[in-house]
Amino acid sequence: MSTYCEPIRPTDWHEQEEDSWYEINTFEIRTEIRLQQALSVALAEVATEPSVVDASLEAKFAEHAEKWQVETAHISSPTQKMMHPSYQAILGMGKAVVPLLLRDLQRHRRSWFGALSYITKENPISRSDAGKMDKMIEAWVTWGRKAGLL
Amino acid sequence: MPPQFRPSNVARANIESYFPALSNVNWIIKSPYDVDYQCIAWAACRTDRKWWPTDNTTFEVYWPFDDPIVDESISGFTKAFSLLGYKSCDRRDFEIGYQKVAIYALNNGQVTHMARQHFCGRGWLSKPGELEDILHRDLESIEGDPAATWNGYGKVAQILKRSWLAALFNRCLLRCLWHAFKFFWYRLAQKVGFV
Repeated sequence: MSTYCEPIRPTDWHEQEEDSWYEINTFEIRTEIRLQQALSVALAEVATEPSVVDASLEAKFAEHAEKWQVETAHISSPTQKMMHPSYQAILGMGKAVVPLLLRDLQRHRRSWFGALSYITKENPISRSDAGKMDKMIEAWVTWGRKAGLL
Repeated sequence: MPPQFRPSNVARANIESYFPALSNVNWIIKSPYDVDYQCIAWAACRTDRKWWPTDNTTFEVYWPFDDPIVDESISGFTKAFSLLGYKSCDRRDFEIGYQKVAIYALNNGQVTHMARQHFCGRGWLSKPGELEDILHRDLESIEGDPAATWNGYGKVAQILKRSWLAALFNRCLLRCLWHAFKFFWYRLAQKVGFV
């Protein structure tokens, strides 16, 4: 039977304990540091994610917009133009696509008026300017600037 | 924004890609590439804005009728063009003293396009969407699949006509001459190197 015996010096036990405590804590600290580093890397990735999404959204939008323009250039009916699969895909992108629509309206003068009204539920075009491209673009660009989207 | 002049061969190839039947007939380009107006406006002799039935929720297009319902049917277009002096007609050939327009529609009755007969009967003038104005000899050369949804004109469904006098009162002849004059000078300026 082993009996409990007191350490020779009271400090012996404590020193040992202190060493192991130190090792364990060092291990924990290292692990924590590693976890923190991993977390910061993950957070950094998450932080950069929106721009990645934006870039892909922009690329998708550009692709659909180009396809839509090429395939409906001869169509006059806004209803027929809106029925094109690419237009439908753009409508499905939701509010995130509004700044892209406004920018494209300015640069390429593509008719996104229906999509803009549908997504934003707004109509900044005055009745007297109905159908006039320059005036309609100006009205939407002004609206976009006021809304902080341009 | 000024109209865009595409090289003739590029414009012709592009337009024929949408209307393959044009490659078998004679047709000519009558204007630059312009997104500011389209076929319905051009059928009404206007080049300043786009015409199409609208419920006035977006003002994306202009329509002379203040109609709360978007009526894209043949009767809706006939009613609107009656404001410009047009009446229904059965003949599509040239008649001295009359100006005619043709309405294209799909099987479901949805109007897709309009063409206006040349004042002197040289053919039909069309403005396909944002592309160049074209003068084609017959109405069939730009017809398409009537069962299509978004990519075709369907068939000619209705002819309307009005007297030359009504066209003169409507200042159609004046507007068309001005349009042709502008195009002539643009072309000339382009050849000389000003544009």
